[in-house]
Amino acid sequence: MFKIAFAGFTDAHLIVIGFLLFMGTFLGAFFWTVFIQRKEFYTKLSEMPLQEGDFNGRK
Amino acid sequence: MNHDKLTNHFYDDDIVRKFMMATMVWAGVAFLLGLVIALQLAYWPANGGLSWLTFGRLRPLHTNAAIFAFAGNAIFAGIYHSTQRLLRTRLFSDLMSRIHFWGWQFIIVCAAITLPLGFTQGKEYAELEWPIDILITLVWVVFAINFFGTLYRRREKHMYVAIWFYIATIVTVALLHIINSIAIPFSFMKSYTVWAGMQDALVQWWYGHNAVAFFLTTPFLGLMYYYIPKVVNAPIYSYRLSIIHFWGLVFIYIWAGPHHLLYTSLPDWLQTLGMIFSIMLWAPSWGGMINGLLTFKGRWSSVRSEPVWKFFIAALTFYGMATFEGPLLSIKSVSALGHYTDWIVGHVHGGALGWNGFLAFGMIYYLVPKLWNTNLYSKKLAEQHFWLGLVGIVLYYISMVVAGITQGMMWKAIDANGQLVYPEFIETVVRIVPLYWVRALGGALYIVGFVVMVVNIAKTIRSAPAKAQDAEITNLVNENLKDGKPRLLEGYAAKFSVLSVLAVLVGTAIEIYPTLNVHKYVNPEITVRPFSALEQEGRDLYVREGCYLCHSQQIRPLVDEKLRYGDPSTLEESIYDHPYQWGSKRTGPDLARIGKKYPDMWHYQHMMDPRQIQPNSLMPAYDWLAKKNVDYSQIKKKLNVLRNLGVPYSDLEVQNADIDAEKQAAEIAEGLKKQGVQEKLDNKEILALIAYLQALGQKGAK
Repeated sequence: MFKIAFAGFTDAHLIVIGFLLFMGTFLGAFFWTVFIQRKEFYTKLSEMPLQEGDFNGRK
Repeated sequence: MNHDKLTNHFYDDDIVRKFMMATMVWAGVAFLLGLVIALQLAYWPANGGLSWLTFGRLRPLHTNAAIFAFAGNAIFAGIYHSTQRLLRTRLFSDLMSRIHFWGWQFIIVCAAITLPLGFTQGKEYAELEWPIDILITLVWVVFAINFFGTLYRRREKHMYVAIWFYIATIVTVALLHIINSIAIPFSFMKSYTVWAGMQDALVQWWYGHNAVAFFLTTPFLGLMYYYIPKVVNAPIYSYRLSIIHFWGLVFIYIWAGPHHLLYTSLPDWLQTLGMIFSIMLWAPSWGGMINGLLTFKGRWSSVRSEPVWKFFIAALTFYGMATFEGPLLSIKSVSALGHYTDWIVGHVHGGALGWNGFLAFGMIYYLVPKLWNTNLYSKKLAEQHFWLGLVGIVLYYISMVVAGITQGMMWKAIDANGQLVYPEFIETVVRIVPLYWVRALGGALYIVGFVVMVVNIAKTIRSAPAKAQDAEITNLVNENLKDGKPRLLEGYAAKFSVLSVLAVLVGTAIEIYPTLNVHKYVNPEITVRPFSALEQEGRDLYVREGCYLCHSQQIRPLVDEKLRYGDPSTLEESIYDHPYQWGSKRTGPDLARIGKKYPDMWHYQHMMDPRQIQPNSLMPAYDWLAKKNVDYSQIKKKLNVLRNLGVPYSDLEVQNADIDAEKQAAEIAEGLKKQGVQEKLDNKEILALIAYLQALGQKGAK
């Protein structure tokens, strides 16, 4: 049954490559974001929209 | 450029005001067109009996107006406003900003003229013909130079996450538009796409799905990450989560296109790839939604009194709903039920009206008083707008989901003898027409809410000082130079842009490159003949009239579809189709094997007045096809272009294309005359269309 179900399923290696590329990128971004960068840095970045006012200093 | 020469101390708010006004004008047009075509589906005489007013011609105008005119102008307004403030610098070039604005409006006007006239490439959300496609490319390049120039001469060292989303939008939309629009022209306003059949389907939905991703999602997420902290006056809940949200979304989205082609003749591995990555989209999408909603944490009591907050919270909620439902619909067994039905229409409008619409409205209510230096005329009217819009969306969404599931289940109903319970397609249509009226009511309520907003905004602007002024840049310290070496990623805009492109290209390359070797998937036992000259003319008419918007040409390998339409479609059958016409919605039945099922006379009567054949039909009459002559002057050029694209026409077939076409048309006309058609049909368009319909499913065999 497994063979019949996957009879037309060619190029499975491309799915594996795609998935591994994604996982590598995702895990890399995750560890870089969570463990490498400092919290103070993110705090500073997150306040950027609040720093510059609009007309007459309105935020 | 010398950063010390940044002497202009004012933001360019005039361009933001211009895009803001254009947003409201085109929103009105897009919404009204939506209401008109909704009524056409509920009540066919609303097609008006005029070729340029039919559903097939107006529906592309509605989608283009909603996506590129309404949402497009809204994102340009928001990007130009927020980018200047986040980078603390004026836009790179005032001239480029104006070229961008007027160029974009000109493109929209061109679309509004050409689409109703039937100039279309026949690809959903990419219908505009080649001269307009080139114009879009040029204007987008101007936008990109203006944006990246602004980025280059910024005063801020770091880039806030909203800027990341804008960069991803600009580079990816350029890539999508150029690749999907590659076409060979054969006249001033007509061309054939270089992609064919399965290739075209894949490229089209790689584009189509990512138009949703990178035109209706990433820029709006950037706006969300800027405007929600602004209105709440608090930083985003988790900046870390926003980074993971960004990279997760950008990397995954590009792979998800094939979920629009489940159970088609696309290779299985691609369908599975699209499904897996679509399901994975749940995580980053909900991460972003939760991040936005939690920014309101501890401040929920203010939602009662602040209509702008309501719009943003509702927008995020609809974003969450749409991004939950999208992956759900991408699961093959769910797609088997929902695809081709109104469920998809409901899903799309939940996102467009709820997420894009409400976020844009929230932004307008927030920005207009600031840009015109005044106060909002009436919070009460804004509240009324919110509730009218919300009720409108709910009515729209629920009616379409119920209609879609109802019709999908009726299509699939099989009795104890293995026969279809509803063999007549029209039975399944008649059952959901009342829901089409509910949809129109929902749309009408949404429009009433929008009109309330226009009145409110007009009165707000009227109460403003006579001349609106540009805001002053309050902090002129150039931190981009002062702190030495910038940090990795945030500091280097160019490197960051390259990384974003790479994230997108990886998915693109793996998905699209193998399918360029389409012959690898072709069954050599199946031979396919190309359309005759007259059939090709008929095919162009089929595209011109937008038939693909209501009729698919792709039979899925599902029991009910085999019983209703015949053998499943094969990849080979559409291998010479430029463009492919598999469709994405069945308001009427599939046509992949309609050829020779009925006599020519049946098709003639059906096109002249569908009610003669099927009294309950919703289809408009196409009687002008019996009045207009086929333009044979282009036929040789057409076949020649197709031959250059790989369609196996011989020299003789190209040279005699006009003669052959006229001969075949005369034969069909003679046959119709014998069956009692009084009208003189020599060389009329209806003959070409009949020839094409009779050829469907007749060109390939084992």
